[in-house]
Amino acid sequence: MNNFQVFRYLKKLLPIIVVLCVVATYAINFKLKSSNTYVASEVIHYNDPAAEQGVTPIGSKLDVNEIKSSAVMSKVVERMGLTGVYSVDSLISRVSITPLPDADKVAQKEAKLEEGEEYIYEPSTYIVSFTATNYEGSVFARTILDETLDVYFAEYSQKYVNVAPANNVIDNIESENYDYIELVELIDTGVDQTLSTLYQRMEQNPYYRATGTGVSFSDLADDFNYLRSVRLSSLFSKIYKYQITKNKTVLVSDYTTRIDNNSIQNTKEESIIKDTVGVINAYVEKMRESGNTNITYEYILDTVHDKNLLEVAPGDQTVTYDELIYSWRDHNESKEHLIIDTAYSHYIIDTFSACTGKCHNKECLSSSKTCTEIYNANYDKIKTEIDNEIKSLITDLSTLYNTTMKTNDEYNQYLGASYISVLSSASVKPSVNVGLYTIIAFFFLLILCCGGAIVLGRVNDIINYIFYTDHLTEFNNRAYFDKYLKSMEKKLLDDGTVYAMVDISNLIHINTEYNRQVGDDIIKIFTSFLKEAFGKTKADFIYNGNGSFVILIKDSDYITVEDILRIFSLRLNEREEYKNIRLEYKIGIAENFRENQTARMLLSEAIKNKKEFVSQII
Amino acid sequence: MIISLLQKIPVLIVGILLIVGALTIYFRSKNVTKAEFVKILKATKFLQVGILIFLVLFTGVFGVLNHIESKHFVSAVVSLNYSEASLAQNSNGTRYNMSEIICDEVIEKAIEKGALEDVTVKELKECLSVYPYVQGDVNDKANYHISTEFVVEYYASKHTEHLNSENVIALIASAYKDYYIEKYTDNFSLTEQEEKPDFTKMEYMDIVTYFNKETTSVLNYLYGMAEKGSSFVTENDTTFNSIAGKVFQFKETQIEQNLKSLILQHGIAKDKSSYIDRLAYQNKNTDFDKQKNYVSFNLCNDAIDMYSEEMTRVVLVPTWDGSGKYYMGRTKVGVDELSVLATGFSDSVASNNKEIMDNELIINKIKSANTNASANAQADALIELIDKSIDNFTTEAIKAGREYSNYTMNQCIAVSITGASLFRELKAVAAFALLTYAALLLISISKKFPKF
Repeated sequence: MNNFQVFRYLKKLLPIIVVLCVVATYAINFKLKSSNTYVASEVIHYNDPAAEQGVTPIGSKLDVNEIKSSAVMSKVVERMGLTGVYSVDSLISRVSITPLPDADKVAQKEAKLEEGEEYIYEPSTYIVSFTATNYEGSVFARTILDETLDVYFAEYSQKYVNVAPANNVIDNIESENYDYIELVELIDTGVDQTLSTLYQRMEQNPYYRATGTGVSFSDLADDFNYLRSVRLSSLFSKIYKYQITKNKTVLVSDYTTRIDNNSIQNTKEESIIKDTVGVINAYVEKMRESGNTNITYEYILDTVHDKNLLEVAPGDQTVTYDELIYSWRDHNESKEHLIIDTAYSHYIIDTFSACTGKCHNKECLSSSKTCTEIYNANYDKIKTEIDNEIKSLITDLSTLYNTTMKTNDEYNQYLGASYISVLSSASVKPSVNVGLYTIIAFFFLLILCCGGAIVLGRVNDIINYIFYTDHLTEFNNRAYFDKYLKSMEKKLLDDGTVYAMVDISNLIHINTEYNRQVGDDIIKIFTSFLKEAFGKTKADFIYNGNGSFVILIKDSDYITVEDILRIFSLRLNEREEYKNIRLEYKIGIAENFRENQTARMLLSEAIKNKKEFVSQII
Repeated sequence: MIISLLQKIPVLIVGILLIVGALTIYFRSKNVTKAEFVKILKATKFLQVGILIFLVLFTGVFGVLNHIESKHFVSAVVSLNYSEASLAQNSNGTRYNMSEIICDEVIEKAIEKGALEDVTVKELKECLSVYPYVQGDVNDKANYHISTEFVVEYYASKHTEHLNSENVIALIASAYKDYYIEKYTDNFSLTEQEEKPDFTKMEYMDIVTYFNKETTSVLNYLYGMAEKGSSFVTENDTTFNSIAGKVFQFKETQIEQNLKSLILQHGIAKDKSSYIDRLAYQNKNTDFDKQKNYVSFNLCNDAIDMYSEEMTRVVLVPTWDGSGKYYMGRTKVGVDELSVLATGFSDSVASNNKEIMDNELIINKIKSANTNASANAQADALIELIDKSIDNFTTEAIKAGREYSNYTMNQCIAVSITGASLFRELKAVAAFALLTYAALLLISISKKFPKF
């Protein structure tokens, strides 16, 4: 059997190995690229201390999954113009939120819990990631993540920080549906509410100025106040003075009903007040009887020393007795305010029903029209003027409301960014390092292919040795030769192919006369000399059995082979062993020409050309 | 697109020649001994006319194509220079969003600015990409990074190849700068955006209210700026506080004292009757508010009275103040809150009373006044003067604000454009020439090896 030679096996399959490795590496690279995803990630941190208690600034539960809520993602889809291209759910499923707990605080929590103490700690730092496919690319991943967090920051602020928005009550108001006084009252109420909201904002952040609108909440409040004190009050006074109404009867009826309702509500309030007083007295009495009114310093709990008490347990701690008193006060206040509102309603009725003194017999009192409407020739003109003034005021107020909304929106974004900070801005990484994995795959394949080549080469050696090698001569055997001839059946031989046959003619005689061992030794001598004679020529040796050798030579010619075999004969004559045995052998040589271009034909030709030789006996 | 393909053809040919040459030498080297191999290599002529001609020809073609192709690609680096950038925020404190650099609005503005023809926002957007110059690693706290520099790349497509690439990226950068300044930097519009009312049609007292509103707006702006940069000194050696002091003084003397006093003492009004009616309405309205506040005040007092003495006992408890220092405080009960509320209502009642009295004073003054053309003329002149002064204060405040903004924002955004440099092109051409020479030399050497 051939020696184990690694390079021989590799050399044989080197081109295949290289091609296979390159093709397979390319295929792996393509597969990795196509199945690769881009993950955009950003680290955010909730700055509010309450976040570590798992609550929002207003005390509700902090749910970080709101980042990928449909409310947020639908806005992202809208902002990016992806409506109809991506479903909200498909994007939500690609957002992931990973908490990054503080190791020290986690350890502290565990220690406290082990001691049986309550300790609340929730992570306030999170990695927010969005995964995009290879087709969508890294830019898409980063953009979606950026937009998602933009929207979430604003939503968070709107929901949990800047709770009360400035409501625009006059937006799309149908002025035809209201009487003049009702309309200006509605506008006045709206302005009043807006001012309350703006004052709250001013208190929170007095110097905040939106860059988009260029105004502060204080500027907006001043503008609302200005419109209210100048134009709205002017409208009120004109409506009162000129008794401007769309329908006096309806107006008077409305305010009369309001008085009636106030009266009913008052009765209800009085009843509640009476009951509340009863409860208060009973409560005090019972407290007195049970000894709960004799409070001394000894009742103060030690925990009041704990600073964290206020941070952990904020909220309303009002005691029942206080609540009862507040209830009494509130109901009384409602009752008294209703009385004042009734007075105001009477004032309105009087104003619109009053006679200006211009009618002769106070006919206006029984008329469905106001006195001014009946007797002032300019009534319609004044009414039109007021109509126009109301429209103009609504337009100006709407503009102001829009500015307020824009300012508020920007304030929300500002608060969002101040309540949630970014610790590491969006970075995108492929889920798989395609370059690195491709290189690894290439070398892996190379090692695999080389290993395979070595194994295959060695297996081939073993198979050849077992099935296609004659163990006596170490030459290829008859089976190999048959296989060779079969494989060459439909092929033409290359130029320069020469077949030579060497047959030991008297092998049977030698075996009989001496013994089989001598016969075998003679075959070995032939084998050795043939190998020696053919040297480095491209010869393939076959022992066909029964003392018959076939040598297939490539890139040679008849004369060269004839010379080699002549040397072989000489070498045989000069042999050192079994000199006393007469060796009879035949040598046949054939070179391929036009008429014998197939293996079988060339072999027949070689057989035909066999000539007898005899080695000398010394 | 075609140029891009053509540019790759010479590279491909040279690549193939290199591989063919190397393989030929490899296979034919089996036909020679080692000594012969070395001999062939030693006999190689490194400067052959044929090789040099091919080299010049190939490199020339590649150079031209590379030059044309490189004109299609250009990039720019956008740097954020303001302090909030390191917090991933815009200069107004909102969250920074990098994708806005190539948003539709910016591209639209760039097209408009450069009067770019035959290109849509969508087509141009497809040629642009933006990414951080340096990005951190979210998985390692030590490698957290807030990006403040962003690379904008432009690669011309068939729809945009008629445009000058460097011009396009310059326009995008400029449009983004404008967009950013407009949206996120300090807004200096103040009252400029508002249309001024026609003073000739306004009541004198309304003009006073208007002037008060305007000066308050300027003051608010200045106080806000002073909060950010109290020590900032402008080119004119003023600070925000000094300008605010000037404006405040002006408001108190010129508007509140001079103009208001003149109007009040002479009882001047454009339409006395209407104005008196309006003030009367306001008084009536304020009176209703006063009644409500007064009722609430009384109820708070009544509620305090109602408190049972036994239920309001207080004890001293250890507590701490705002600075964290302990002191002995007493327990808080409902009476405390009601007392505070009562004070608030009391203040409101007083405020209502003052408003009513102010209005009554104006009404009485107007009623008792005779027509005085001279006073009207003086008031008109003063109004004109005050109006101009407010304009001047506004301009001064805005100028100071801009100076401060320039100082802190450090030009806010800086852009550097990296086009196709000659050096970069030469490097590519040199690399190609070297590769071509190697390929041609290998082919030449391979021919010297015998086939058999």
